[in-house]
Amino acid sequence: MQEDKICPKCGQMIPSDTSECPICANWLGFNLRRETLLLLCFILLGVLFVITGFVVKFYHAHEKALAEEWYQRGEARLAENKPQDAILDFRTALFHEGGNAHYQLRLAQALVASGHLEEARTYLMRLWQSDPASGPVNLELARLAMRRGDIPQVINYYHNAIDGVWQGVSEQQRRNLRESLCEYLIEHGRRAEAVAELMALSAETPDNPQLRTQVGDLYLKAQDYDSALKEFRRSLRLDRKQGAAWAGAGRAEFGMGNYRAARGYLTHALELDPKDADSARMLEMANRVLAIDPFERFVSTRVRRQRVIFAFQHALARMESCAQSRGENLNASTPQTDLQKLYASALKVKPKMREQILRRNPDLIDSAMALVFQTEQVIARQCGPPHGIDRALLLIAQKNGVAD
Amino acid sequence: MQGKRAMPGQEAGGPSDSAGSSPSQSISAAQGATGRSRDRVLAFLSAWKAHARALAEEKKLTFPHSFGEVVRQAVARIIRSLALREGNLFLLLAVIIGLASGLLVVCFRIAIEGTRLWFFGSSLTASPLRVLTVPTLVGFIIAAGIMLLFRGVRGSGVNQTKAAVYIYDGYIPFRTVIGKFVLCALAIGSGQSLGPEDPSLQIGAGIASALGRRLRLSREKIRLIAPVGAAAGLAAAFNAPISATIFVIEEVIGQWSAGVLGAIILAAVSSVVVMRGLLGSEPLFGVPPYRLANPTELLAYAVLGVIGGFSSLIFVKLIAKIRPWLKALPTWTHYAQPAAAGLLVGVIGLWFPQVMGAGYYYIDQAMHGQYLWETLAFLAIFKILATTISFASGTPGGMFAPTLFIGAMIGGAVGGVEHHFFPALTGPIGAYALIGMGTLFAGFLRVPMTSVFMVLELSGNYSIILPVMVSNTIAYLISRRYQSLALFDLLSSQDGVELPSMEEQREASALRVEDAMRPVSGPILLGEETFAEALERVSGFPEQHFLVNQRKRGWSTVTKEMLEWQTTPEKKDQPLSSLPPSTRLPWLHPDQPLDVAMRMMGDRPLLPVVNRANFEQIEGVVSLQDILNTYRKARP
Repeated sequence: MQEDKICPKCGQMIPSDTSECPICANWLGFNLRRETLLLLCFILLGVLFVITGFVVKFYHAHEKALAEEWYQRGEARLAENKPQDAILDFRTALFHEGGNAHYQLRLAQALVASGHLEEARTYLMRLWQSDPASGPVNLELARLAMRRGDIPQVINYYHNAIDGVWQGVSEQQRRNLRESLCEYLIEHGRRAEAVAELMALSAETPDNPQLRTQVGDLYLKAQDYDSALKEFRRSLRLDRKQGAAWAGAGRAEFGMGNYRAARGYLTHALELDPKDADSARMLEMANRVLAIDPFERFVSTRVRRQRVIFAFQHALARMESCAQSRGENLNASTPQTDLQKLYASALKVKPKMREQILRRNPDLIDSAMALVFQTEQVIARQCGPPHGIDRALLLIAQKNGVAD
Repeated sequence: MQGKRAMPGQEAGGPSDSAGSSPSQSISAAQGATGRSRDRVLAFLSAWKAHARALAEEKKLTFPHSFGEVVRQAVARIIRSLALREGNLFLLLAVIIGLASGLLVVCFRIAIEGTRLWFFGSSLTASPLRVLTVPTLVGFIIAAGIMLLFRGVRGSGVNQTKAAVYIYDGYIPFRTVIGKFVLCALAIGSGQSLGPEDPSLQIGAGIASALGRRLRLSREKIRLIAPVGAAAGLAAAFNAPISATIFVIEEVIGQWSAGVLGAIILAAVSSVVVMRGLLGSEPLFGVPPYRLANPTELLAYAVLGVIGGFSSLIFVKLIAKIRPWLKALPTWTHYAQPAAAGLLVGVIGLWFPQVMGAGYYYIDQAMHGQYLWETLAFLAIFKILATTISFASGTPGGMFAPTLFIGAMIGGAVGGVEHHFFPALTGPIGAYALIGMGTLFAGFLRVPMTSVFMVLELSGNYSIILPVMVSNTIAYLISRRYQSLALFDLLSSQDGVELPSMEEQREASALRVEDAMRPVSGPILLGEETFAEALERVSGFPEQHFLVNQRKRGWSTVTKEMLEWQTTPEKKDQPLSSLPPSTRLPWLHPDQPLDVAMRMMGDRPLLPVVNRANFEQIEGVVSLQDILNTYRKARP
């Protein structure tokens, strides 16, 4: 009967060849109660826990050592400028210590360096998810966004990087990041956003002449000449021997069309650094503008008339040389091109370009100069960038709001 | 008898005095004898004891002889009160099993990694010589281990756990646990294309079985304890307690029973806590962020579902062909099959080292978009081959990790191709790889619920649910359409064991009362009608049994003979509500299972089927013959 073979204590089947339940009868010679067995289980668990703990500790230490070894190899490969080889080493390091964020970051950087952008981005996004405030991760993501030309993301990640958590990074490095962002924005024609960043940069920059000059330079690049001038002046107040600040202020004034003030700053800059070729060129141009500008405030009416005649004649000559270089006939019976039309107009005005006529009819000064400015603009478009007097004339045009 | 011993203070009052009187009366006597308060207290105590002794003698109670005996009895009482009832013991045991499984699975994972390090070194790319020789030579050792020491380790751990539940009363030999641990660590560590989850599941089940037997659980509980251990083992291996719980319910037990569910959850959580505590809470894979930008992208995941479905079909068919063929070869070849499989895997590993071992790291790589879609496709194909060879050769190890690997590679490949042709798709390749894992899980292992929850648990991202559901459902349906047997059922049938198919149980359409019921023939009598009226109403009908609506008192049945018998001059004006209680009928509802009707039927001629909202509204009747006819018609 089957009932006879069931143990009344535990309900287990008793094998036919034994008289008593093998489970209940004894266990290692003891007939233990359930509670005692449970206690033994807990003790065994404790022992197993301790043993496993030691095994795990040893395992982790070993894996960590291996990971470090492979990581160092990867760093060495990166130092040798072999990012492709470094990738495999970093991968192996991560194989042994998968959760190491630093290894992941270095792998992502190596991937970026070797052009595996999508994979790098996935790694970085994963790191970003686990630590959105990480400065290095945000910076790498910003750089990836730069490569994709995703400007809003660049700004976003750069901001995160600037305000993010860095290990052992000074304020100066945060400012450098903002400067990089500004330069990027300027390069991509986002002047308004760049100026906004520059305002923040200016606010967080300490009163150090070199740093102020750097901010001023960035303002110059963003074509915010007024703010740039303020930065250079602050720099000069701190240290009047800052040649770069003098030069910067000169450029700022030059940019705003204040050629007389620019001449002053640039002269100072060249006194401090005679080898500053840029300032020298700019000074020369400022002098030239001041020398030929008929609208300069402190010139007599006679000189003004002379300057108008000079500018007109120069523009006419430039028109002829431009047309010649392009193989264009200026004397066409029916003017069709811009140059031909301008030439036709100029020929009409030409007889009036005499001092006596201009003296009698001062209104001609404006119309003649308007023709000159228009000519210079057309020629700049058709025959390449202007130099010398032509450039000076264009700058005068810009100052008077005629040209872009 | 201790009651006959002299008690302190007995002299204050004789036993006969105290026994007959109450303690207060004795106190009054004592008060007269002594005037001091201490004496009064002593007198009270002696009187109380005498009274108690007298009561004890009457009721045959016993008193301790000494202080030591008092303590012994108190301790015994405490121990008795601490004795665990089986239900509580089961839950406590679930926690112990979870902790033990967690610890062993941690050791198992370290054993696999340690073996791999020992065989192949710390580099990701081992030398070709090692890649070829290690799996081959270790294959011989594994074969010898299986054939000579651990015969039980061959085969699927899931099926062995099911067999323990349904055939062997929850018995899993502990030898099998040891065998699984050692041989699987060797197999996976040496590069065989198998995974550690299935062995972990069986290790957990084996521990549970051993503990259940040692703690003398009842047979019913021992049967249930193996799945509890299985859930713990799987949860620790996957670092996913929800998926493990659902898998065990979906594939091993097949039912949501509250009693076992609590134990399974406790065990799964305990094991995962231990595992995370020791190995860290890092998920198995680093899942990229995902957001479904446009619902039309679901079409792209539907394509993945189709490809995943057919891929899993190929995988199952290969196993279905190759495994029995290898098994049928002469016994001596079984000593060489794992080695031959190892050699083939090694050959594949020369070009695609990623297919060797469990391959979790490479799944992670695929999710990070490391591979081109062509590489991913090749990896999927070669992993299918390598896993089929490894598994069919009898090498112990699981199919979960290879399934995930193949799914991830297929997902990544499909994602790569779709991105190539439709660059506007926003889902990253990693998301396709993740969904691919779930897709193959649904198609190959045929566990649709687990596949969805697994992806959710691994990704921790709820927004992936829609693509996962779309893709998994398609893959599951394709697999069901073209492969009648699910993988686990196929393996058990190949092993000559008929285990219950959980999928068939899920899909089986249960017969309901509505399938057997028929309309009421004849009039329905009312409780307020008299016997004479009732007899008059039923006189023209051929039926013998008639239903009586007793309003709020339910339903009764009455026969024509009974009505005739009751229609005497004395009783004919009595209402039908005076029928004896033995005529009362239980009632059924149309949606109830037919076996409920069978159990309720008893000797009754018929049962009323009533509306759930209105018990007086009759929907039909059902008789034993109706039920039997319905079962007969539904016979497969």
